[in-house]
Amino acid sequence: MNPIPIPEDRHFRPRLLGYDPQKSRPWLERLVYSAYVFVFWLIVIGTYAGVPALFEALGWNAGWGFVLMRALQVVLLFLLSAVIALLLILVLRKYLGKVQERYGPMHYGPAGGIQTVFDALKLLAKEDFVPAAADVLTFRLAPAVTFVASFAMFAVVPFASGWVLADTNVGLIYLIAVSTLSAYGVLLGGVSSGNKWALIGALRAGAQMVSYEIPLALVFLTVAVWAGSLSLGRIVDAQLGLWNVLPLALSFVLYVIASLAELKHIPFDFPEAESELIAGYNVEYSGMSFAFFFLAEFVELFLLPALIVVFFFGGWHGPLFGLEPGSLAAGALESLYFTVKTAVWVWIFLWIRATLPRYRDDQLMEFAWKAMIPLALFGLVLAAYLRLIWR
Amino acid sequence: MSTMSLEPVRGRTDEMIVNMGPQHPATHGVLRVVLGLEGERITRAVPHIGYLHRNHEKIEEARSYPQVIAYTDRMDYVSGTQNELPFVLAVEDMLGIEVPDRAKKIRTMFFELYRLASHLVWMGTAMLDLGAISPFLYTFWDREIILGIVEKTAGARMLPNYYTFGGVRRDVHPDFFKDTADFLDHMERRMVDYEHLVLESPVVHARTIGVGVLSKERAIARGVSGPVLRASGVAYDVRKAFPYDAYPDVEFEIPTSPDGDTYARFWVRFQEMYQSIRILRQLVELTPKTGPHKGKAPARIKPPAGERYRAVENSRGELGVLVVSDGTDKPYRVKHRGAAFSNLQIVPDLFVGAKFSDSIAILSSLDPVFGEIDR
Amino acid sequence: MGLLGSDERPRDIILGTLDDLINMARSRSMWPLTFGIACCAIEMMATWDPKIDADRFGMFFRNTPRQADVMIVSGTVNKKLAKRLRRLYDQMAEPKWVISMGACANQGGPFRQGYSVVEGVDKIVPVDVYIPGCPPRPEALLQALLLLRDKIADRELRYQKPREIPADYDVLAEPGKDGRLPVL
Repeated sequence: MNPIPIPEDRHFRPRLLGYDPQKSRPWLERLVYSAYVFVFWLIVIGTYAGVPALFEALGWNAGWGFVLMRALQVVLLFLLSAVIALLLILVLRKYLGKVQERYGPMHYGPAGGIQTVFDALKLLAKEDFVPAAADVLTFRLAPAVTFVASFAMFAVVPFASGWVLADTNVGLIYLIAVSTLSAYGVLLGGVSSGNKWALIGALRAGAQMVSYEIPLALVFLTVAVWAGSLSLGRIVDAQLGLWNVLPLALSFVLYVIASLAELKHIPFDFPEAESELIAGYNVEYSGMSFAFFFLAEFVELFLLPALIVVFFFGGWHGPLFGLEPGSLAAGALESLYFTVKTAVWVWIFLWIRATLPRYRDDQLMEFAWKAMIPLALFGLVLAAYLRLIWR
Repeated sequence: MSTMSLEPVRGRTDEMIVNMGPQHPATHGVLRVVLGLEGERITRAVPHIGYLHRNHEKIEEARSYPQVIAYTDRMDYVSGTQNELPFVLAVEDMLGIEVPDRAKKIRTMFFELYRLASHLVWMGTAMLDLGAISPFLYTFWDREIILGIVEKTAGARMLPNYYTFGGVRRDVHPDFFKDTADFLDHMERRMVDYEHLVLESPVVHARTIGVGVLSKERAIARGVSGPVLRASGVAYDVRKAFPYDAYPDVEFEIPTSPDGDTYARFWVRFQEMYQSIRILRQLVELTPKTGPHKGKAPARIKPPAGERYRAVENSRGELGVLVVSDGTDKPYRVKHRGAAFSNLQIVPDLFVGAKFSDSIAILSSLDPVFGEIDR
Repeated sequence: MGLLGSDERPRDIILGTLDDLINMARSRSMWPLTFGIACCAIEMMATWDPKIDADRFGMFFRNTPRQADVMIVSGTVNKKLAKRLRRLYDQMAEPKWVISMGACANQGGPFRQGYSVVEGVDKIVPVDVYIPGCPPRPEALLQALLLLRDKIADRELRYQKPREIPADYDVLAEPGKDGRLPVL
């Protein structure tokens, strides 16, 4: 990395700490980097196993006690999402640093761990104003719509067998509906800003998200056809012997690309093209409203890889080593598998983000309508045919 | 083109007039372009410059000749000493100063080092405009190495004020040749990576091939020079046409491309980087390690009355200086011909009909630096 | 810049500690605005390169003034740009700070005698930190960012505001008899 030795900069003296925070300690970096996996896992165990166990011990199982338990689970899940979003921002910055031959945030907290807390506090305390030319109600509501849509998708994702908040049998339809809502938030936010650049960004975002919703929905249907059910829990159960990625390889590739477009991630990050549109639809947002958009994007950054794992990589399946299925220990192990697989996919998404330039929007649209939709339809027919002859 | 902003045309309701203002993250400096957009297509474009007009030429009329060298640095600020050379050459011609061979070679080495530095900045910011965030940091790391080499000798990183009449101000640092050779080894490895990241990337192909085609006739008609001209098929390089310093002693080629689109401009700059590395390698061998670094120059620079125009091949094109002297120790008039200023003339031509995101790619491939444009 | 928009630090222990905490958060998460004008902009970009990485202090560029905290004025401000600069400053959300980087932004720099150059950006916006140099090294810009960080977090310093520009000051006004603009 250094062909010519460069002197250390001397701006910091180790103060009371006893070590020099200037030198990065690789073990600590890796620990902080992967902390979000363990935090996620612990909160999942707490929500899905801890809370029911607590309520059972207290004897509040039925009636109002049940409602209270569910409410507490929802609150914990919300906390989970917020914490994951904050940690993922840090992971993104440190990972970008790693790719770009530098360290990300290093100095505040162990290997920069507290950095996002400071970011969040700062955004809370920033002036939150509405531009004079903006439509006040829509301007204020739009970030909330996106935020809620992203968080609400957590409700149907199964983290281990039986550990799902809302075990509906139309989980897929719910997912399609809610993910479309986040496109609404972006569109409303940009259009109501009263700024031409925000308008351009919002229209691009809307067009892109809507165009990529179609292959996304088609891939959802493909998975549903293959598994024979619309419920996510059932889809994961159906992958006991064979993960879906093998028979549904084409749909898997299309799903990854469509997820990148839904996330407005590079190479599809046209709507918030940082170097062109001056943050696109985000232009007039400051303070906590901006933080809502920001957090929503990072929650989805965790959620869409989680969905990839659920649909194609067997969800929480993994060797149980003789533990009794359905027990707490099995649940913990299964959710650990889920979390690790999701972390691998988050890493792949971040890797793509750090490397590629972005496509132009008419190229995106062309790709979606001319290539992905026909291929997704073909994948659907292929899955139906394979299911017919294999099962 | 009129200097007024665009007025909406009566009856055209689907054209939106937006202002790509002097502050924009495309990191090219303070250019304002007023665009008429129909959806994503640009229908009209009027560039406005002058946001960095710093009165170089007027101020230089009140400075003595050695002081003017310090001002010329600040024109094309990413290229450092490249800006000093035309002025220095013009005054040397007027005074008949002999430049020793070693000084010429040292000057050329710095010239090519800064060409590499400038193209590295270009590459980083062009990829940032296209959306890739990582090459920016790799190129700036390489640029830091170059600036470290320059700083050991000249004392400053970016604007070193190092050339003087007759040669260079002080002798090179003892580590200079070894540092440069090490850097060239490092750079050759890095160029492989850059080629993968930039020239062979399918996304870059999709964004730049066929975008912003500049025909040969139009390029010549508009007075374009430099990589932009060579990417349109015209093999004109001041280093070969009107050689100066040590360029007659080294072997290098002029890369040209017949396509004239943005990808051709990217490609030509890449090849220029390779040629710079080649020139530097030859010069590291050829430069005598001992000898004079400065020729005999009068203590008080007072060229006889007259005028002289000299041009060099900047990273952006033909950078020229017309020095008009009236016999005193301050120049009567110093007129700079900015390469990027002439290159910017084609912006309205190329923007109209292109998509909005193409305009960013086109602008980044033109590589404007506003110190040179606005002077 | 205070907790409740006040101009002095709250005296009681709860709000005072909260004020300290929030200002510590603001100081450790400063987001500069990408507003590079001239040569100093290249050194500003060099401050974020891997050699001297200002991102390790939590600072990364935001493109829109609404989301930026710090405006680093890097380069010569001339009269044509002055109005735009002031407008960008007004568009930034409170609390906001300005760093004047380089000789040109401090007092006009080598171009001070020019007819179109504004002698210092502090004639247009209130400046918190000045960095001398032409151009200042990236380490100097980093030191200025750290100074600003300490100024924001420091109890005694943070409520000392730089001098305000009167609303009717016109930077494009005609120069006086000695060729200089009215001095504030």
